[in-house]
Amino acid sequence: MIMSFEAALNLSVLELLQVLNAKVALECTRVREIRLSPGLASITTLEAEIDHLIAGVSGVLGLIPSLKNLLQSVNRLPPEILSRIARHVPNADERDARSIIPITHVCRYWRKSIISTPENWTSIYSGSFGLAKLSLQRCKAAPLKLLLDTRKVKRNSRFSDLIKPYIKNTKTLRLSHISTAEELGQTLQDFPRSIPSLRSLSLTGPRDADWDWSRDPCEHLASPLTHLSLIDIPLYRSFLRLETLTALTLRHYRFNLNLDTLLGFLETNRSLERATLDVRFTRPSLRKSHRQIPVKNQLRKLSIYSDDSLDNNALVSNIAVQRGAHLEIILCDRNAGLNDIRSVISTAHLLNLRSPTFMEYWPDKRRIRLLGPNGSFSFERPPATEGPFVEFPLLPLNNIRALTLTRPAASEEPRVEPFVFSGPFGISRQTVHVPSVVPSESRVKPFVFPPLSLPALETFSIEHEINASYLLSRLFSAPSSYPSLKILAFLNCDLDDAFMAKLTRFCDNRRNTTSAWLYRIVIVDSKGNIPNVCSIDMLRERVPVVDVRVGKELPSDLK
Amino acid sequence: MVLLVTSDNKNFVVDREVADRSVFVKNTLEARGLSIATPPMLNGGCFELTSPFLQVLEYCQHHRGEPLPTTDDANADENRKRTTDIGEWDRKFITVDHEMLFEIILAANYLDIKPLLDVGCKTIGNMVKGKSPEEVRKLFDIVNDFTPEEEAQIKKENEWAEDP
Repeated sequence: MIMSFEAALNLSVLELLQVLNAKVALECTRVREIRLSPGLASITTLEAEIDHLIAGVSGVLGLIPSLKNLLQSVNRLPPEILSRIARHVPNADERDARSIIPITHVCRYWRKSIISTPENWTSIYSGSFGLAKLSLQRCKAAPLKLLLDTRKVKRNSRFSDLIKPYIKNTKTLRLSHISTAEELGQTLQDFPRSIPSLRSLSLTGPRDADWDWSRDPCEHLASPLTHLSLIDIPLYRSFLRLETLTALTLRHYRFNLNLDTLLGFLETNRSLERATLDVRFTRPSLRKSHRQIPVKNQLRKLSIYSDDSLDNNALVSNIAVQRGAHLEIILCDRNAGLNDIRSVISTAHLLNLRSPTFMEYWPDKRRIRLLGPNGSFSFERPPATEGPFVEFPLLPLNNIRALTLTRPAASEEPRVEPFVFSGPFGISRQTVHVPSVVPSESRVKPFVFPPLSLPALETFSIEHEINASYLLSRLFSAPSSYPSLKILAFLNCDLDDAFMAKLTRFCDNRRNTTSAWLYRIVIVDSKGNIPNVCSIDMLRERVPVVDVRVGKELPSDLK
Repeated sequence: MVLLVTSDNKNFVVDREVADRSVFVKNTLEARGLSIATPPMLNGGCFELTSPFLQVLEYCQHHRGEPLPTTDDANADENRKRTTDIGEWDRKFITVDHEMLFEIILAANYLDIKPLLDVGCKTIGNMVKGKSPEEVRKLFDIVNDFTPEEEAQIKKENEWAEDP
């Protein structure tokens, strides 16, 4: 019986195996009947045929376990998803595809899916020649992420030859342990012209060695970089030409920068979203800065590392972060009493301030807490530090539009020591000693600010026995520091006649000295301790809306 | 409000903001100017639709209003893919059996909800991370279907990977 290929396709695999079995039996008979003499060429031919047959059969039979695998639910995921899963296997800090290799050994389907996706193989690290070679074979023309340790590349000359054909595809380049500009040229020939697609560049120099960095290694840099990281590498003129950065890291322990040069650079890169700055400025540049207004760009995260308050101050006061951005200041200033304390401050947190900002300090626990509306941030006070507690780091308060000051819950009973508040504005260090403003017999002594200036503040609420009179005198003394203030609200503040007289004078003063008048004053008291009618009338002559009522809460629009 | 009709004829009325978490649904609605979408021809013999769709809706409800990932920021996409961290709520949400996990991933892929797809893929990525091929096979009930020749090739690859 002669069976066509099409007819064979209609048979089940089991039926085909029966056919195969019969066919192999026939072959055995045929081979047995051949008269063979040792040394004849026909034996060699037959042996080759049989080997070919064995390979073919094992290839076909090997597909049968694959059929079983296709029934498993994980293998119903399409290849592109398996590939995506593979990309999540390496940790973010892994330098190559090492951890992807084992999952290409699970089964044929996984292997084919993962290997055939070039994006899985684009991380090339000089630490492993074999893996780099394998990855380069699989990444095809996909944009590469090249991580080179120049010491290792120098030791293994094969590596330079291996990557040479692929360098032009590099999109991300990280070079570490560069000793000199010349060495950079030796590692990557004709750098940076040889890498036209480069978008992210990270260079790390020697930490302690004293090398000649007079030559700019990137003088022909023309790529529109979006990411730049320079660690112990000077900010060369070639980098200052960049205008397209979205992320910048500068760690210059050994190179003093000119403040205005850096600020100009930040300003030029208007799309900058993330900046990590650990820099020192030349002292003359701090004194002679021409900067008039803070640098504005798209910053969503600004991290400042500094071991010097002046440098720190210069950065915070000259860079305007976006509303809702994340500001991180890592202080290492022993004089500031915050040695190696990491403080994370979100301006989003400050922006919608609906409950107090308190600084609380428990001496026994050596613990400092900054309270906010969405939680609190805690810092441990270093055991070695003594004396006045904290010069709190330079909060960027520019964006605060509503601020409420109140007491913490009585049950928490924190104690706040006198402390120093450093102003966020101006390069010169401004320090204001804010005294405790709560009666001394109270065990609870919340920190109540007010900071030097809140240019965006529109609503200022004071709650629960805070010494409103003191706060008002602070506002009264510097009306231009609160140019946007429109609403003042008091809840349970026990306002006496003297206070009301002061408030009236404050309204007059504001009308005379600023163009922004108060248009609403709200006074609420749960016990009915409401100021007398005359003083309220005097306010109503000056302020369009004066809302006085008995209640437990401020009106809902002020919460 | 938007009416979503699944291919097994179940109706779901959801806020537009919730429906727009799916780029597929968003684009469909925008292109047709409709308030009714039939998102999925998903069942196709692959899986039951309603069950994962309910889960997907729960995810979209929870994450409504959050900014959608932009497609033009390649680096952000890369960072999103590479990080293996999963938020607290998402982690609880995705703690389901394997079958449901795969179906959620398929639904997220089809409906083009990238953050959910990433949560699913990260979850499986975390499951297989650090495991040997044999352990992964055991985890998902997969058999070793490599031929001896392929096994030899794999062995060679392992040796290459160790070449400094």
